[in-house]
Amino acid sequence: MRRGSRHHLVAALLVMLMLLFTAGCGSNYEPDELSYVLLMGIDHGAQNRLRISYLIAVPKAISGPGQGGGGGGGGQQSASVVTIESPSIYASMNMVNSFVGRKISLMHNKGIIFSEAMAKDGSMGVIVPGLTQFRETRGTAFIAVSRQKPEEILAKMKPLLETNPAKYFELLAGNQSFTGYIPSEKLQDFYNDLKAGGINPVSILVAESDEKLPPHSGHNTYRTEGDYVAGELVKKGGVSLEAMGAAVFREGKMVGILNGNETSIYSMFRGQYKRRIYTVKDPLKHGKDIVIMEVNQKTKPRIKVFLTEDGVVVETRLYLEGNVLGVNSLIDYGLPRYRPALEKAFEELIEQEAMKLVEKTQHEYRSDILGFGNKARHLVLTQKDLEQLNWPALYENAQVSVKVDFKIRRTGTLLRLMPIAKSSSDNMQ
Amino acid sequence: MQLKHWVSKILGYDGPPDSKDFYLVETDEEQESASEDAGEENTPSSKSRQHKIRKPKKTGSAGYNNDADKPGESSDDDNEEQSKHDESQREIHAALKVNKKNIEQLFNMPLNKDVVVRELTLSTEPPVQAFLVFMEGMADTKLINNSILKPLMLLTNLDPGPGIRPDTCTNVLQKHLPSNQVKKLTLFKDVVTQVLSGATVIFFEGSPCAVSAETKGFPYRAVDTARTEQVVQGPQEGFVENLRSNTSLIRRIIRSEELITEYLQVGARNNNNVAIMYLADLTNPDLVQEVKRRIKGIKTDYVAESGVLEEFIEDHPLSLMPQIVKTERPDRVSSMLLEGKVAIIVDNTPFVMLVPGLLFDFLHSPEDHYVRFSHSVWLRIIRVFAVFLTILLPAFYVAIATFHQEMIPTDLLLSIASARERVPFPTIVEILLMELSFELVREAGVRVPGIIGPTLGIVGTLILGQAAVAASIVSPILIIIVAVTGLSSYAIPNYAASFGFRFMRFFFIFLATTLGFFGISSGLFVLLCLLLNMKSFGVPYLAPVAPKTAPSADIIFRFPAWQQETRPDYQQTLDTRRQPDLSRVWTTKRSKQPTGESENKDGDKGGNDAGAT
Repeated sequence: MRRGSRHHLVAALLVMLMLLFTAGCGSNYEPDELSYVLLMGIDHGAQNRLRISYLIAVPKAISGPGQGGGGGGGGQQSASVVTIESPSIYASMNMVNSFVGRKISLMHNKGIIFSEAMAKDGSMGVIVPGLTQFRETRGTAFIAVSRQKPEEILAKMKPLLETNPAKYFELLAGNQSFTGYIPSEKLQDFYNDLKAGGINPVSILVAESDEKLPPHSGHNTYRTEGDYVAGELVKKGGVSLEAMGAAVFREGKMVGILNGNETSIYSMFRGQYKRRIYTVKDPLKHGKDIVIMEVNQKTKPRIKVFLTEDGVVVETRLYLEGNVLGVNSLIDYGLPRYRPALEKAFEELIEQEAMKLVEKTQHEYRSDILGFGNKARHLVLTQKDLEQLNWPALYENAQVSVKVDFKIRRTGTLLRLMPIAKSSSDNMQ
Repeated sequence: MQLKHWVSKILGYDGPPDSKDFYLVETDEEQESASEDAGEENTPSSKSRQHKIRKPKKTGSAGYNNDADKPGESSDDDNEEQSKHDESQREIHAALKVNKKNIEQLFNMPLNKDVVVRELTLSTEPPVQAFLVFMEGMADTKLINNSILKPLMLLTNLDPGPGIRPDTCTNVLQKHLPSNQVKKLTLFKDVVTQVLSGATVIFFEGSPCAVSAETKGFPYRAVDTARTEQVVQGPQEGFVENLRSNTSLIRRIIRSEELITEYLQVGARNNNNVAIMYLADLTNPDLVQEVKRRIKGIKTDYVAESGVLEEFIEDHPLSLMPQIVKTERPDRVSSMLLEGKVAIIVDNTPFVMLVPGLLFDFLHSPEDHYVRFSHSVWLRIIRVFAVFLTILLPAFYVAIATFHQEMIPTDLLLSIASARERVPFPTIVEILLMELSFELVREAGVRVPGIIGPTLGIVGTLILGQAAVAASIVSPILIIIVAVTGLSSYAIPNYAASFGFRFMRFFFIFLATTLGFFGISSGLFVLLCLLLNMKSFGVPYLAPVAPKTAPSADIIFRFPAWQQETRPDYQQTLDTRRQPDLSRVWTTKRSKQPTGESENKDGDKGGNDAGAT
C-alpha cells in the first residue's frame, strides 16, 4: 500500500468517526416510539388558550399482525381522540405526553380542523403561519373549518371502508378532483394565500351530518347537486360527517361560506377544477327533464386585468368540455343540430353562476378569493406600488366579465338515442 | 508537538506519494494520428456519433510495424532467479558421474522417492553411457518408454557414430529423439525446472550439456462447465486447473498469430508457472511491461493460486473493491483480450485474471453480448439497480425508519410500527441480526457438503426468517429488506465485486443509524472519493466515466454489436478500431459500397432483390 493513499484512508475514516461522535442520535426515534397524529383539531379553550384534539393512530389496530387473520382489527378502535387544553400547540404535544407514552409526532398529520369560532375571530389566521413553520407538520395537510367542535368531528372519524382515518380523510379531501364540491386547499396553499396580497384563502368546510331522512311528502323539487353546504346533505349511513363547500376568509378571518356549486366555480377560476357531474335542466324540453353531464376543465382559465379610469376591468374566460352521461328527454344531443343548444345553455348557466359568485365575493364578502389580485401584479413594477394600488378596494368595484367556452366531446356509448316505443299516447311529458 | 505533527500529516497535503506510479498513457501513434486527424477531416465516421473527445480513427486492423521493442521478444530476461543451491548455478559437466552426483544432491536423491534416475547405454558403436532423470507422477512413463528409451537404447545402432563426442547432445536431439518439444540445457538450474515441470532430462557421457524432452503427463480435471459464472445463452466451458488447457481454451477462441503467451515463474519454493497472454499488435506494450514488472518483482516462496498473486500485484490491496477481473470463462477472457487487456493465468487455478479491472468491468457479464441488444440493456439496468440496492437498501430502511418517518406512506409506517410492536430490539440490532444471519447462511452454504446444501437453504431462508418473525425477534418487513438485499448482491456478476458491495452495506447501516440520510450521503461521498482515487494498472478505476474519455459503446448500455466501432479509449490500445463505421456492408446499395469485394457480390445481389436499402 502506498503511503499517500494510506493517509487518505486514515483521514477519511477519522472524518467519518468524527461525524458519528459530533452528531449523536438526537433525532433518532424508532417507529414504535412515536405516536402518529393523523388529524388535528384546534379550538378555543375553556380554561386555557387552546383546546387541541389529536386523532392518534393505533398501529396495531390499523395494520395488525399481518398473518393474524383477516378480522384482527375489527374489535379494536383504529384511532382514538385525545383532547387537551394548553397555551400553544407545541406545548400541547408535550402535555399529551404526560398521559400518552409515545412521543407525539405531527409527521403524518393529514388534516388540521379548526372550529368555526376560531376561524371567524381570526385566531386561525394567526396559528396557521406557526404551523407551517414547524418542521414536523406537512405542508400537504388539508385544512378545514368545522361547523361543530373539532373534537366531535374527530370522534366521528370512524371510516366505513378504511381502517386508517388518515387515509379516509386524505381520500375525502382528494375527492375534489372529481366532485369539485370542496376546494383543494392545503396548509401550504392556505398560508401562501394568507400572506399574498392578491388573494385570500379558503378552506374546506366540514360538518357533522344530520343523519335524518325526511318523510316522503309526495312531491319533490329540483335542487342542483352543489346547492348544499356541509351539514345540510340529506343522507344517512356511512360516516356521519360531510365535507361540502368552502369557508371564505378575509385578512385571516372567516367571513362566509360557499356552497358546493360556488366552490366548483371558485376552483374553475383558480384552475384547480378537474371534473364534476352537473345535472342541468334540458334546454330543449322545459319541464322536469334533465341532462346529466360530466364537465371537466379543458385548459386553465384565462384571466386578464386592466386598469382604466373607471377602475379595474377583469376579463375572464373559462374553458370547459364535457361528456353527456344521460338525457331524460331522450333528445339525442349527439346530433349536430341539438348539441349547440346544450352547449350554449350550459355556458349561460355557468356564466350566471360565476357572475353571482364574483358579485358575492366583491360585495358581500369583500374578499378576492379568486386570485384576480395575483393577475393584477403586471400593472405595477414594485411591491410598494402594489401596496399603494390597494387591490382589495379596487376589487370591490372591479368590472368583471365572465365568458365560458363549453364543448361537448362525447355523448355516451349509444350510437343513436331512440325514444321509448309506445303503443298508445304517452303520458311521460 | 506530536499531535501537531500528526494533524498536519493527516489533514495536510505532503505532495504526491513517492512510490513508483504507473500511468497508462496514450501511445505515440495515437497522439500523432490524433493531431493529424485534427487537421484533415475526411473520414466518413463523424456523422455517426458525436465524439466529445476527439480520438484517432484508425482503419487498418492489422499491419502494425512495431519497430520499437516488440513485447514478445523480451521474455528472456527472467533468468535472474535467486539461487537456492550453489549446485543449481553450476554448468553441466562433461563427466557423467559428476553430473549424476550433482543431480542426486539437487533432488535430495536417496530421500526423495519421486525422482527417478535411469541409467542406460546408447547402442552406438562404441556404446555411450547416459542416464535420464524424470519426476515420477509428473511425467508420462509410457511416453518415456516409447519415445525416449526405445529410440536411444534400440535404434541408435542403426546409425553408427564415431563414439563419445562433445556434440552428442545435438546429435541425439536432431536425429534420435522422436519427441516434439526438445531442448538443449547447459545449466543445472534449467535441468531442475524442466524435471519439476514433468520433462525428462537425458545426460550423456562426455557431453557438457543435457537434453530435455517434453514428457508431461499428470492427472488433471477435464474441461468442465463454468461453475461461478453461469450464462443461459453462450458457451458453457470453464477453465480448469491445468495451465496448458487454459491457454489452449483461449487460443481456440482467438486464432491469431499475434496472441502471445509468455511464461514467468513466481514463488521461490513452488516455482509456479504464470502465463501472460496478450495480443501483440493490440495491447499497449507499456501495460504488458508493467504486468511483467510487477510479477517479476514479487519475492515470496509460495504463490498457490491466482488470488494470492492478485494480492501481490494489485494497486490497492486494502480496498473493498477488486481491481483485477477474475473469470473462469474463456470467452470473457478472449473478449477482454480484444479490448486490450492482459490475461494472467496462474497454474493450478481455474480462474484467469485480467488487468486492468475497472468498476464497470465488474458489472458486465459475458451474456450481455450474447443476448439481444434490448435484453442486454435491461440486464444492465437491473444490475446497476442491484448494486445500489445491495449497498443502500438496509441503510435506507434504517434511516427512514428511525430518522425520516415522514417519508414513508402512512399505512406503511403504521404497519412497520405495528410489526415492531413486540420486537424488543431497536431497528439497528434487528437489521444487524438479520444481515449477520444472512451472511451465516451464505458462508455455511459455501462450506456445507453438497448433499446437505438444499436443506441448509430451506433452513436458512424459510425456517429462520419465519421463526424470527413469529418469535417477534425481527419485524417481517425486515425480512423482505434483507432478502432483497441478498438477492440483489447475487445479481452482480463478479464474485469479488459482489462481496465488496455487500460488505460496504454494513458501513452504510452504521452511518444511517447514527446520522440518517446525512450519514448515507456523506458515506457515498467518501466512497466516491475512494473509488476516484483508485487506479488499476495505470487506468483510473472509474474510467471511462470519471476521467471522461471518448465515449464507449459498452459501459452501462451496450450498443448493438455493429455499433461498437472503437475499443475502450482508456486501454490505450495500439489499434483503436474494432470495425469501420459501416460494419454491415450488406445494408447499403452496391454503388455506395466503399470497396467492392468480390466475395460480397452474391450477398449484395440477394439484398437488392429483396428490396433492402
